[in-house]
Amino acid sequence: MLNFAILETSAFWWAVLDGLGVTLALTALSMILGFLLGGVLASMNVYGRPGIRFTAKAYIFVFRGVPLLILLFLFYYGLPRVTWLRGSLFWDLVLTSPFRTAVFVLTINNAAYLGEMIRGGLRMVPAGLLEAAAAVGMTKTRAFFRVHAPLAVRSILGNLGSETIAVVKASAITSAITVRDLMGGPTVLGKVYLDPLTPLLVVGVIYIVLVQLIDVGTKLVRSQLALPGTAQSHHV
Amino acid sequence: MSVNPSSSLPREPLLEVRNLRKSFGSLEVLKGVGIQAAKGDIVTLIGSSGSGKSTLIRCINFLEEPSAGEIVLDGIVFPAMGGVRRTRKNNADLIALRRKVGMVFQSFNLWPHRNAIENVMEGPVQVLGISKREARDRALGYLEKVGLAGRIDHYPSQLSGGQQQRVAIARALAMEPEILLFDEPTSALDPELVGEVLRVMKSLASEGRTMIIVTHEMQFALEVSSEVVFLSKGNIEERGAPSEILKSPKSEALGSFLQRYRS
Repeated sequence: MLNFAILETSAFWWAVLDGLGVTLALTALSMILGFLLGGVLASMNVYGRPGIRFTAKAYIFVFRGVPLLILLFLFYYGLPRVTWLRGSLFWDLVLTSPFRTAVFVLTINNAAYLGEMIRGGLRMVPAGLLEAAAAVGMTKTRAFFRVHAPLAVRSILGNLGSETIAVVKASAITSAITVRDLMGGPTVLGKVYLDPLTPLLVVGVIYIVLVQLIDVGTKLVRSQLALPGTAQSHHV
Repeated sequence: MSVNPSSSLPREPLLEVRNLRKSFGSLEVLKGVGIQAAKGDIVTLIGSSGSGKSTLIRCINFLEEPSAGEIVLDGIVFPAMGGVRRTRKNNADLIALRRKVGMVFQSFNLWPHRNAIENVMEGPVQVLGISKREARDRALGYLEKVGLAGRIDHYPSQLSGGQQQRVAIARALAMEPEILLFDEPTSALDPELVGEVLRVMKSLASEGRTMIIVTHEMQFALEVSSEVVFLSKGNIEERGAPSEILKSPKSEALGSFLQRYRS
């Protein structure tokens, strides 16, 4: 018969709570950093000379192509074998901690997806709006931050929500490099209590709730940022 | 400093476009054209589509990079780069030019994430660096001038085409430019909205503003222009006083072009 005794231990619920914090931190950090890096990649793609564009495209080609699990193993189990990396800043800042390795890997992975997404958003902004910015004497950089980027971000908000949802779920895989996230923490305890099933059911439900919350959050932000007179501004 | 009062005296041109050429690939759209405008002049460019008139006006503020020739504004020469990449210095010069040259587009190009007054304030705050408070006062003044004082917090999508274009004119005016460029400002408008935009432009003309206008509104051109320039296939085919050009065309090209407007 099923035995839910683990639910009556406070250790389990602490593991769930801690894990939730870790999952949220992983997602938030890797989305924010990935967005910034993705923004750089997208700008390289849209504004850059051919060489720069090629670099951005190559980055995206590689990191969209490689499975997340391989990247995680590569950076957590593989790179530490490279002895000359020891003592380097990268070693100290990233490789020594599973959490920071996970943030790093999720970030470079997110950047590839977000870079493509942002590039699409930038491309959707009509050229005339940028010409108007140039015509009043804005530099390209200023026009980017005042006109191009704000409009591009608005057009991809829905996609950003979906991407965040994907990242919340994908971050569960970091438990494979011993990160005690929402997946890793409680399931380790499950092994102690010889109950692999219950922790999975519990965290599964929490993931569903998280996804719903992000969905609602995205809709709120979209309606906040929607331009008056556009379809998005009508609340449902 | 005094401005030459009489138009009969030869005046220093404020703007001079010299021997401008522009090619898109192997297609030469402008084949060495020159125009001049002294302070207070209104030069109207007419011609059928593909004649190069829009390209010409877009080359004046380098939205289109001319292939050869030069733009002279206030005695400062801005040469065509001829495909050479701009240096930092060139870019700074370009910005200096654009500050002095306002532009109004066919499709308005108001920034949709800013309301009317924010659209007008943006240039003064971001480019001229004046305070928001001052920019707001200035923007209010110009929006009032174009008859939109009551619409300052409307977003572009909440305004009619004619209103949008008037906000766009206020946006250009707020930079207090020396020259205004109008690239077919009424071509995207419903016929019943053309009048309100032309009225604003006429009032600007009567203030003695220097304007270069690409338009298909022949009656308007006749009334306000100091010179009408007819472009055909990348060349200036005919130029002169509006009544001369529009009433008694000499070339066959201009004759048949005008014929199409009468019928």
